[in-house]
Amino acid sequence: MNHSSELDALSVQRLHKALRALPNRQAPKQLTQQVLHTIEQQAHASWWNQAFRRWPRGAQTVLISACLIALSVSTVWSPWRFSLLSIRLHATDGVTRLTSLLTPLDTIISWQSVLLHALEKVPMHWLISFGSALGTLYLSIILLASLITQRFSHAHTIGRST
Amino acid sequence: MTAYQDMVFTTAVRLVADTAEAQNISQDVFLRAYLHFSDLEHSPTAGGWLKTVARHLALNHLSRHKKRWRLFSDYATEEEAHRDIDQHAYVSDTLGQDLDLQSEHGRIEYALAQLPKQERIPLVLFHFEDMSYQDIADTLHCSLGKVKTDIHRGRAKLASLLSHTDWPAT
Repeated sequence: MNHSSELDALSVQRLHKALRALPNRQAPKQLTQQVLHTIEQQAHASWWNQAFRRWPRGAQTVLISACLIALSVSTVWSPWRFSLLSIRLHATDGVTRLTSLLTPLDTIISWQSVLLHALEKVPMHWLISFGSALGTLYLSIILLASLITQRFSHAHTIGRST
Repeated sequence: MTAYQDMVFTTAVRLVADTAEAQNISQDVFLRAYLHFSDLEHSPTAGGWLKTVARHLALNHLSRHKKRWRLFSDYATEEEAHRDIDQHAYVSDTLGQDLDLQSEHGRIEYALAQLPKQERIPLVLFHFEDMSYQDIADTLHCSLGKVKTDIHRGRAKLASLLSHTDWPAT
């Protein structure tokens, strides 16, 4: 029989039965050890070294809030501030001051259009990764500073009490 | 874990045909299960959950090696398929180390691992994972016709490889 030719329905059925009758392969003996070792390592890791979803709820909220604030500041507040500077420098009479109030909006729109045009060429996952990395770095510095401050103040309190 | 480790490992190794990679995938599956331990502890569907995760991780692992991965090509020639078998011989040799090739089951497992990827994976998904042709096509992002052709070719090659194996009586 030429097996590379068409298999009839009976052969397919027998093949299916033979495959379904196969018992499970035995997992390597070291698999359990490896899993337990990794779990133990992860359990002893500090919370900031663990996956984000395992962070304390407060830390998650702070990080997300900080990222949103940083994003808002960078997209809205910065151009507005630059525009206000230009109002102070150039606006002399009331009409100019009034029209200059619209300048920040123009600035934001023009900045955003330029930015969006440039960003169209960059893959979205790069941007998300970059934003996440930047936010995490920013917050890590703040958290590290607060932890060091807390540690020092705690040590200082213990020192004073003894 | 001991109750499910063989099932998880088997699911992974039949798809990736590499013992070391299957071991890594199994480890990832159990680490994920540990994260969802509270949900799975008393769940009657824990086994199904583990099997599904093992299947997804194995398929993700395979799709990460897309450059060497011709499953998504609808135009793989016979020559390429044969070359794939030759390239696969190395993996199969490694895989065969823990298989009892004297037994019928061992020989079938070994033959299965020798199939080219584009035929082995849909065949495993169809016969072991109880997936329909359409589900396989959706999962592998290829056409329904290609899935049917690959499974058919896979069966024929498997039958050819097992030509000396005694089939169980129907």
